[in-house]
Amino acid sequence: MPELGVLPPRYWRNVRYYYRLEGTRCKTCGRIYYPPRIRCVCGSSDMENISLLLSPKFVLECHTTLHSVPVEFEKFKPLGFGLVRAYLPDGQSIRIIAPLTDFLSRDEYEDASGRELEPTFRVVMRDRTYGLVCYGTKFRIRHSRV
Amino acid sequence: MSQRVFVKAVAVKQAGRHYSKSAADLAGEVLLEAAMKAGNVDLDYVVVSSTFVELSERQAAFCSYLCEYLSLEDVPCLRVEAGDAGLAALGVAYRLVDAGFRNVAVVGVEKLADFTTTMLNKVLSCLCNSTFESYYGVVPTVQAAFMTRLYMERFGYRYDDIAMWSVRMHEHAAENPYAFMRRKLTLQDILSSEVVAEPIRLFDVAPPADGAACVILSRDPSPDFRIGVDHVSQVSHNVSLNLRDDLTRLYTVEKGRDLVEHYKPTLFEVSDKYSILGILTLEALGLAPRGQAPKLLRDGCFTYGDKRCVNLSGGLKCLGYTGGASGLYLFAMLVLELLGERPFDRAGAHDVGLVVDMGCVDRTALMVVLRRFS
Amino acid sequence: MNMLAGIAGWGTYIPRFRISTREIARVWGDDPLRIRDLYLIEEKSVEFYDEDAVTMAVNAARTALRRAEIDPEHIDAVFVGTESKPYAVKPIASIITAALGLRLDVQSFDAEFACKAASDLIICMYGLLAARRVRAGIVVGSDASQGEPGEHLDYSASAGAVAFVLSSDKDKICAVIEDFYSCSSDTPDFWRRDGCPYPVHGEGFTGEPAYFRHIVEAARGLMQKLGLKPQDFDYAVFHQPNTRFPLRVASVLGFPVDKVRPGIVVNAVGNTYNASALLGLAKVLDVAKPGSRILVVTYGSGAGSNAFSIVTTDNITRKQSLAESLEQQINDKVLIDYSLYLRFRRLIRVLQ
Repeated sequence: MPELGVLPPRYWRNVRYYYRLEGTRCKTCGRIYYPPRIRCVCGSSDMENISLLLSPKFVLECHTTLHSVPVEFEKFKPLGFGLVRAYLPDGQSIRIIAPLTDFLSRDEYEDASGRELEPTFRVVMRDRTYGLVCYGTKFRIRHSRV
Repeated sequence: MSQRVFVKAVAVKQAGRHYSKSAADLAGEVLLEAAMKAGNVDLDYVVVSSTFVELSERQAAFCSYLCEYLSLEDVPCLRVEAGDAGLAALGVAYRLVDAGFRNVAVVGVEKLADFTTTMLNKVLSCLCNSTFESYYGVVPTVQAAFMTRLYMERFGYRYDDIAMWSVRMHEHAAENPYAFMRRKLTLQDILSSEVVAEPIRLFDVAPPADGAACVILSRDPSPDFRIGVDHVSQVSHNVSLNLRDDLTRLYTVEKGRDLVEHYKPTLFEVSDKYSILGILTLEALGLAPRGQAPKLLRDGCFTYGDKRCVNLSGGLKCLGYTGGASGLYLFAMLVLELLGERPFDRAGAHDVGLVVDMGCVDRTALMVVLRRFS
Repeated sequence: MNMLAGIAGWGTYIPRFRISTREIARVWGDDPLRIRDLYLIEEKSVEFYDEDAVTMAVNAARTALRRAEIDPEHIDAVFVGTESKPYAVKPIASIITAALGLRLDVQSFDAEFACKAASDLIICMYGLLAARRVRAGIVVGSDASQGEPGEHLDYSASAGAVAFVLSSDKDKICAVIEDFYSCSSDTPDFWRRDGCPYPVHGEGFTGEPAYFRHIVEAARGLMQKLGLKPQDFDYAVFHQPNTRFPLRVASVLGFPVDKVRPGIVVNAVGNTYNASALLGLAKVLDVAKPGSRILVVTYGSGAGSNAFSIVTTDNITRKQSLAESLEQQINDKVLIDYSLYLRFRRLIRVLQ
């Protein structure tokens, strides 16, 4: 067996975060967390999972394009990242750090702050030629609307 | 004299690409040098600081193998890790001395030049949240880029203003024999350097390197090394950047403002892994009003001739980024500055200094007050 | 009319990046006008380097589920038809169950019959719905298909996905599957051996004995079974390896061009293989009025066809407004050159 860069159990147990952007909400005070927590600052441990993908609206607040990337992302460079605000159905909002995709150069995000984004399911990286293909949630500028 | 913990010796290996030396070689070299300067004292404890030694040397229990290499066969040893805040190890050593151990060595070491750039980026990404950030390729530079952009937007600065930090660090480092980067840089050099994660350019990033630094703390004051440790504290803010209301603040370093008011330090050595962190540290400590640090830098503050000098060593920007050893470099530089060693004698006599080391991007800060006594 | 099962929601996904056949012709020294005349394809979609058959399938399935207005908890099966799985062994369907947050006790698998598998799965799902063994299920056709650079397929093989939520709940159904008719034969017109990166084909042999024979047989069989004639259909959608083939098969069957044109997508996005004819169906559903009868005939090399008669219900109009139309996705595009095309499709030889 060759060496694996991505350990299957680790990928498997995190799939709900990668695929569905799950965070947690405190059932006592309503605070939401991403990354999730098992205990709230209010002291309560009564937490529930929520998928941020249920948010009807995502807005880009700040972005950067990383040109010097970690080795497993060499063929994905440059990498775009945004501070993205997710507006949940209940009116709350939470900011997350999220990867951006579908852009050819950094110029495309030059005036993108404040733009509406849409989540899209993408390959995050491919572990060598024989390891796992790792998927996750990225965002892109929303062009059309319903 | 209220001090109970004293600096007995410091030793620093100039950071760089030490391809022929292992982590144990570098750490051993500075440890032996410091021990010799301290009068070949018997060491009661060795505390190692290294953030990435498992990844670079594939070595667990590095502290034990290091001690064997130095024939310190029966000296108890451990490694302390709090991200890349190397002074966390110094904090532990301080408590050990305070608790009765006579001489404790703190040695910081890192081997980063062995990695290629992209492999190193993967190593550095371990400082971010592995499941929610590094999984997607986030490295600390991305976090610093968000902070830089938001700071520029909020206070109406252009990139040139941020670059002033780097210009100043290179001015200071030009005469520092311990600096890795000793070339003076013009603003134009910085503006034409490559973009790493815009708006951050290459010269905004402390250059990763191999290095080691050692400090020996002791219960006994040294007759010719008159530096005492007045205070060591750690402040943490264990909150992801995306959940913070204000990314133009350093939540950990802000707590150091009380230290500045109480101890009135006039020399500072602060962690500047990225230009923005140096700038925000000036504001967090109250040395500059909010949003004013780049302006004050441009006006010539915080350098030789000012009443408060910051990073006369050239900071990590020029000393090099050596992971868990970085904080010990800053500590050692401040000691040399307080002792008035060349070239720092130009700064005149200073009695109290503050070292601020940072783990990850504002997740923890170690603050140490040093005092020169007569 | 038979109301055993029908479409409750549809979703499409086309990558944002496109390459023109003119650009491909420039690189390979072909005459762009001749190429255009040969295939009647202006542009084809290109998967970004972080896209594959899995990602497009998930994105299309999410849209279909939104349109279906069915709780993910109520989905009992997920079937995927593809011939370009990123894993030789490891299903796409199970990744969809995780991404959509479906229950553990769903039936899920992938199937392969060249470009026809997704439509075979519609028939499978229909059977399960009719037998009351499934309340609602998702069928996806997704391909980021391979075409050898410089070869015919380089001008047409593209990327895209389409998903349908099928249901037996009358209140949810917006298009009833009235009936279907299948045919298949051992016809070696196009294949890809295990381990080969690109398929090969019989060029002209993919036409008469393959594409035309099977589509005509399936379409005539279905119309005969239902006692319907071309004039009874408002739309006719056929598998689209290029634009010429569906137009010609329509004329053979006696459908006027204006019934075929609304379901043509290949001219703008290329041949999306398992998504091809079904994307055409989605494009028709985007605009069809209630009570429209649609003939859909898929084709898969190797070879076989499925013909469907689908009739829209009063629910169709509301469903159209619940998600982005295929037309919008087709128009949301960025053109790239051949070097980026090679990079995006990972055709440049690298170490990792």
